[in-house]
Formats: sequence, C-alpha cells, structure tokens
Amino acid sequence: MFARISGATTLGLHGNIITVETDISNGLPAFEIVGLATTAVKESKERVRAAIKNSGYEFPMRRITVNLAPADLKKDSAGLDLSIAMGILVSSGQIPLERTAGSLFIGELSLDGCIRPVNGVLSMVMQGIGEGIRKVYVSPENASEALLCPESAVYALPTLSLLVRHLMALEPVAPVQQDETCVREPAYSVDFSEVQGQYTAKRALEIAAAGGHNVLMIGPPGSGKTMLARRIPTILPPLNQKEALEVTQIYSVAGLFHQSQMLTERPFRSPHHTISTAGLIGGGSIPQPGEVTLSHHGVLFLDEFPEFPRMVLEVLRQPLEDGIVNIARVHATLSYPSRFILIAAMNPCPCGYFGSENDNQQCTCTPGEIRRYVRKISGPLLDRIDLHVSVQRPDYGELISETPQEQSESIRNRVIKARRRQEERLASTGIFCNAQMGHRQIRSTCPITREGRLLLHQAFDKLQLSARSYDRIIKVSRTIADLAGADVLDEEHVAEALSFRNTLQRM
Amino acid sequence: MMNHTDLGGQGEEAAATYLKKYCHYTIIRRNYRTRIGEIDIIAKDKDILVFVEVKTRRNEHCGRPSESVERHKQWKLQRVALTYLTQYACWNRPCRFDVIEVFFQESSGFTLNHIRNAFIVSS
Amino acid sequence: MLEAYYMAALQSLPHIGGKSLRRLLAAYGSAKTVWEMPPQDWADTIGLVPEKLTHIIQQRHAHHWESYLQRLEKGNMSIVTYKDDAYPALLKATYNPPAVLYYQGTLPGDDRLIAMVGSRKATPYGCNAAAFLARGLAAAHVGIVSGGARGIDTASHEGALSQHGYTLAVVANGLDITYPPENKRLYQRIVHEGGAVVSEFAPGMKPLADNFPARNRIINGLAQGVVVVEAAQRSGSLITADFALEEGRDVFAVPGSIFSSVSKGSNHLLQQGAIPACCAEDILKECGWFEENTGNGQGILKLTDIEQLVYERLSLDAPVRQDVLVEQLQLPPGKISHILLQLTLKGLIQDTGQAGFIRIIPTT
Repeated sequence: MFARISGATTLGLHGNIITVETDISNGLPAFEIVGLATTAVKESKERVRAAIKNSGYEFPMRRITVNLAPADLKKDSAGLDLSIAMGILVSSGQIPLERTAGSLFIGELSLDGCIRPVNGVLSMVMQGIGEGIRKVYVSPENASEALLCPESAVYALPTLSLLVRHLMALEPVAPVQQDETCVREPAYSVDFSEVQGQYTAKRALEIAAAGGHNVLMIGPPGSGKTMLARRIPTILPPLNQKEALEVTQIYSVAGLFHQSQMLTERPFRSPHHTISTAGLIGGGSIPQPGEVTLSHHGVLFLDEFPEFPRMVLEVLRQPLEDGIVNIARVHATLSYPSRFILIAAMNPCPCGYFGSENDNQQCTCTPGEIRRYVRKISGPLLDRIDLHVSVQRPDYGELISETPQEQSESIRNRVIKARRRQEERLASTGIFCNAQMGHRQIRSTCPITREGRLLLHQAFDKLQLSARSYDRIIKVSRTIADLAGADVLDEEHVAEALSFRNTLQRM
Repeated sequence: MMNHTDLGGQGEEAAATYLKKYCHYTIIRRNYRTRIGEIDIIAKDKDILVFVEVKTRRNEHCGRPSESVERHKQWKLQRVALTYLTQYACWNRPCRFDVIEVFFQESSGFTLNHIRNAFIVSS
Repeated sequence: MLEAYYMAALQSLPHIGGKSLRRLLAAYGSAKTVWEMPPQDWADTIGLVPEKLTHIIQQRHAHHWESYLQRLEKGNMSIVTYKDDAYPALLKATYNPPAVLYYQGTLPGDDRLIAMVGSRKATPYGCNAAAFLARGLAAAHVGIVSGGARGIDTASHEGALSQHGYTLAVVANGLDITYPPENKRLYQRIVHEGGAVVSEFAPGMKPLADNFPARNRIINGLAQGVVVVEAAQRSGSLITADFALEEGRDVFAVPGSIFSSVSKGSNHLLQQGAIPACCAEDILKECGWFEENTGNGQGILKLTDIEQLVYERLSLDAPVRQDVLVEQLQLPPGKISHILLQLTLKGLIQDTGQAGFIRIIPTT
C-alpha cells in the first residue's frame, strides 16, 4: 500500500515540509530510503525498525521503499524518524491513512520507541502552517516551541505506541495548552545605574542604542568596558513581535532555545577572540548560525578587538554592511540575517596604559609598538564604527561618589522615543535606523542650522577630519537630535557628535 | 563415518522433512542452481515464497552455522532468488529468507534451529 | 666637481670621522686628491687596521657619483664644509666637529641659538612647557635647535614656528628619509619658514640607534645652551646635557612634578646645578639677551559664561577628563562636549585622548 505523511527539516532558518512517501510491496524483503538523504537520515532505518518493533507493532518484512520528496533537497535531520515510522505503519495497514491527514510529525526515535526532541521545530511548524498543516505531533520537550505558532494544534506524546493509540482513538490525548501568549516584558538582572560615573561612555551607548550605531570603546584594563557593554541590552527597545519571532527561530535552529516562552530579551553575544571564522559568521558542513546571526536584533560585543585575527574581522564586513551573511555550500547558498550593533573594546596600546599613566601604572610601549597595535584594525572596518569613546578607570572619588546614577529604564524610554521618530522619518526608505543611512538619505533627512554648518566647517579645518568621517558625524548628529526631539540638527548636536569622532590615529 | 558433503546432504534432507511435516510448507524446489550460486530449498508458506539456506555442522567448532551466512553469501542468495523470481515471473509475491541450522551429533541425531526472516535485502 | 662633494664622499666612508678627514686633508691637500687615491696608500696616515681598510675599499667602490648627485638634487640638499664661512661658528668651535654637513633650508645667520631636548614620551605638561619656552625665545629672536623627534622636540619646533621664529632640526639619518614619518609636514614647514634641517649623514642612511649620540653632539654644539624640558632617569637627553657641560655650554632644566617619572631626570639635573628654566626670560637673562620688552600677555579671552566655567576647571598642568567635568558641573555630557569643542576651536585647549583635556598656550 501507498502512504503520504508530512515530516520536516530545516535549511538555514527556513523550515521545509518533506513529503514522506511510503510504498510496501511484494518482492524480496528490503527497506530503502531514497530522496537525497544523508547518512544521518539513512540511519533512521535502524532506529525506525527497532522503534516500531519495540513499541509492539509489526515491522513488515516486505519490500519497503520510502521516498523523501522533494528529491532535490538534501535532507539532514534525524527528526524525520517519526514521519518515516508513521509512513510504514500507515502503508502496512496498522493505522488508517485519514487519521494522519493535515498533520505534521516531527521527532527522532530512540530504539525503544521514545520520541525525542529536535532543533528548529519553530521554523518547521511555521512552514507547515504556511502549507496547510493544522496538527503537529512532537516530542514533549518540543511542545512549547511548537506552541509559539497558535495557528496549529500541538500534540505531545512521549512514545510511538502512545502516539499510535492516540491516533487510533484508543487513548486520545488533548492538544497542549499554552500558559501565556503575550510577549512578556524582558527582565534584566543588570542596570546602568550600577555603573558609577562614566557619563560620556554611557551617553555614547545611549546614542548607539537609539540610532543603531556601532561603538569602539578604548580604555585601559579594568576601566569598565565589559561592564558597560553587558548593560546595553537594558537600554535597547524591547523586541517587537516580528523581531522576537526571528530571534526565537534563530535560537531554535541553533539548538539553543530551551524555554517555554518566545525569547523577549535582545541577544547579547560576546565571543572570545580565539573564535574561528566559521564560529563567527556561521558554517560547518551543515551550516549553523554563527555569532553574527545569534546577535541579530541585539548586540555583538568583541572585547580585545585587535586580538581577533584579521581574517576573522574581515568577514564582519558583509553583515555590517548588508545585515545578512551568505554562506555558500555545495548544494545551496544559505542566507542568515545578521543585523546587530557592534560594540568593540580595546586597550589604547599593547600594555593598556597609554594615556592613563599615574604613579602606579606606566605605559611600557614604544611608539612603534603602539602604532602597529592600532593598525591591526583595518580602515574599512573602522569606517563602519560611528562612535569612538574613551573609557577610563574611575578614580577613588568617583567610585565612592553618592551621586545617584540614571536608571536603564529612563534611558531606554528616551531611546524608544528616538527610535520611533526615526522609524517615522525613514518609513518609505526601507531602512529603519540612522546608522543604516546612505549618502542620499543623509542629504535629504538631515538639515543643519547655519551655526551648525559653521561649526562643522571650523571643526573640519582645525581638527583635520577626513571626508569619510563627514557622513558618520552627520548620522550621529541626527540620532542626537532625535534623542533631543529636534527636527533640525543644530550646533549642540553636531558638537556632541564631533566629540565621538575617530581619534585612533592620534594615539 | 559420514563425510563432509554427505553430512550436508543429510542435513538438507532433515530440513526438508521438517518443513513439510512440522511447518506444513509446500516444497517447490530443491537445490535450485544458477551460475552465481544455489539455494538449498524453495518452499511456500501459505502464499509467501520462502528461500531457505541450510547449514549443517557436526558440532559448534566452526562457530554457529547461521553465522556463516555472512554478507557475501546473503548477497549471492539474493541474486539467485531474483533469478528465480524473474524466471518464473512471480515478482509480485511476498518473499522471505529463512535459515535452518542443523547440528548433528552421533548420540542424539539431528537438531534443527529454524530462523524465519533471517535477513533482508540490503544495497 | 666641487671639493665639498669629495669631502662629503670621504665622510660617508665608514671609520672616517672629522678628525681623520682633517688629517688626510692636511697630508694630501685636497679631498679630490684623497678620493682619487687608492685607500691603501693613505691607510697608514690615519692608522687603519686591515679589516677597516677592506671595508673602506668596498664602500668607496660602491659609491656612484651620478646617483649620489641625483639624490642631492632631488632632495634639495646642500653641503657645507668646515672650511666654509657658512659653517656654524659655535659648532666649529667644538672639540671634533663634523667636517661636512648636509642641509635643507637656510643655515643660521647668527649664534643666538638655544637647544631644547626632552623625552619622546612627553606628557602634555612637558609639551606645553616646551612650547611656552620656545615661543618666548623665538619672540626674542632666539633660534631653537632640536632633534625633530616626537614629544618635546616637536613641541619646541612648533613653538618657534608659531612665532615665525628660526628653528633648526638635526636628524640622525640621511635627509632623503623622514623620521619620524609623522613629522614630514613639520620638516617641510621648518624649511619653508626659513629654518633648516641638518644632518651629517649621507642620503640613504637610516636612523640607526648608533647615529643618535653623534646627532646629539651636533644639537648641543650648535647652541649656546641646552634646555632639558622633561627627561626620565637615564634618558638620552641627559647625555646631551653632559656634552653641553664638556663644551662649556649652559645647561637649563624645566622643573617638573616630583611625582612624575618623566621629570625625574630633569629635576635631578637641577639638583646637580642646572639652571631652572621656568620661563623664556630665565634663559634670556642667563645668556645676556634679555631686553625689556612688552610681554606678550595672553590677551583678553572672549569666553561666554559657561565656557568660562569649564575653562576654569582646566589647567596647563595636567589633563582633566570629560566625565569629571560632568560630575563637577552637573551638566549633561552633550553640553560639556559642545563647550569643549568651542574651546578647542578657539585654540585654548587640546584633547589629549585618553587622559582628557588640557589648556594650551594659544598659538595666535
């Protein structure tokens, strides 16, 4: 007999519904799986056979052919086990076909018949719903992920035999209910108010959060760069529904999604500088998302920036420019989203103390060493960083100061307002934050007052700024003006933007 | 003293008798030979076609008899079975491979072990 | 070809210094004669050991007149020998002056020259002090001699240039090489404004470490006195001060913070008897050049109230960080940035990077 069952795999972030066709006929007993299946899927044979037998059902000793359609798509998921098993049970007459109509079966099978969880369930279910699936059968550990798509009913059964009994209406089970459906307010355990002083750095991060600008923090060890960076998610606006879904999908495909709720906090990733290129942008023989994708809609923090190998830093250019990363493989080119705010931190020199000498610490580097160290970061990469800020160790007086510091929440409110203004202004352009503006958008959306223009002119002469930094400064001024609620950029906005200009050469 | 080939023949005889009398199978063919190899017994179990390989041993010295139906032998049996099915145009019948192990001991005679569905076709 | 070129070629040979050259000239009359002789013939005159002789023969063979002269022309380099009138008199009077000097620009017209030396990793205070003194001296028509290096040297040259004064940089490499590279503009300005860049090394010579003591001797030899602005213990600037004492020139030192390691050397000099230089007048008086003149005061600064507030919190001594200003004045960082930028554009303060903002001597 012939049976058609729906299973699923993922490719990149995308879910793919696989039609598992099963045919059982006479002839020499055999069991073949065809349809561009990798070794991992071929191993399904052993698992499926053992699982069916150990669940108390008959494994037909006939000629069994399983085809995974479409045939030109490489399948690489153990999650097809369940659908293959169902196919065999249906085509051997042990389950009526109509009981499996409109359903999606996702799960790996263990030899004793237990249904095990897999990665990427969210993407699979989303795709299934798009193709008319209304019932999803998964392992209980995947239930909460499947529930994130309210359009389908989710059934979670721990073993194959319980699933069959449910389908045969011998021991029916109710669909899983969701606890809460609304996206909760993220609750962070850290806050900006915990950092004493550092007003300039905090302001730079506020501007970065508001306009999506990348930041380079320069300072000696122990000046608080990491502490500040970790608190940036607390001042970013909360993820909207679409963003939350994307982030959850990414983490689901990467196998990092282990909660019952949609992810609501902005991701914060801080890979060590020994990371490989594949780890950073994604890769592997089955391309997995890299750090740049795991920080999509969030923050990528690269501490000890010059210590990252040059080749690894170079691969950042595509995501920084386009917001996506393309990974080419033999059978497909995958495209993962990767729009993040880059926060880079570095010492001013190899020993770290250049410019902050005091009685305890002296800089022990020669000027040549300092120059070589600073030059490790390529020009094109620096061009993508709009804000440079110096972070210094607070002196004792500042540390014990009782001045109350501003809470993250109040900073975040300003950021949210600024973002809203940007979104309105940029609505028709296809971009959604100031940092993404190109030359044309800058010219049309950034009017400057006469005094502002004068100041820019003077500054360019006196401070010997380059033409490339002009656009960057205008973009940052635009964000500062948005934070202040102003439509036109004036002197103050421009002056503040200038204070965050690239000063690396001078060091 | 029974010699080697003779023991094999006697074992097959014992297997065939067992299938007929005890399992109520119909024996269709004995020693079906082709250029590639041969199948010891082709029988019918209701409507299932059974290809039987018989392995006789004097004792367990050389390992259990069924263990000697290893991959290459299996492959050969498949090929031979295919030839039979083609020759007699019975493609569309349910089929099965069985193995019967035969132990011979002077004292107790023949002991049989019948393994149904011993293996399936693998590519 | 001019005698000077032959002399220069001889000087460029290894192991031939001023003394040897003079001896050879005394023995054979002209540099041209010496050059055209096989070196074996005059080796004994100056007592050369065989290894050194081989070395000299090699280098002499490798000398290509055409490319040498081309390089001189291309770099606008001139040569002056100790026999010429234009050769600086103070230098000629030292113990072992170089026979030949390459130069770009204009040699000093008189002896009113003061050398200024100091640390390459100078603090903002040191640079301010050097600029301050250089300006004051230049305003009194005293030329500033220094080494063109980073830090104090650069601040001294720029201080002199800001007053359109005369300044001379002595370098430890061939004039076709720019060291340090970031001072390319500075050297150009020095020549353009009527000053000079001088070297005893032939074109092509790199700034090797061994060249610096010779160059320091020249710096010192050219001037009436040397001012050590900022020097750590055991720094090269202290050695220059030793040269000065050997030649009987005045040694001045700028006092620094007793906590600053880069002033330990210069402060120690004061203990050993160097003359404290707290302003240009101190130096002028000691050299007998002091004239009563209308002091160039800072002039009235036109600052708004809020700019004044911020400016008052800054000093010439040490930089202050922006965050400290925010804390003390309780103003938002944006506003503080704005004011700091205004003050920078007015030439009153400077951003030292990590350490913060510091007042500077206005250059107008």
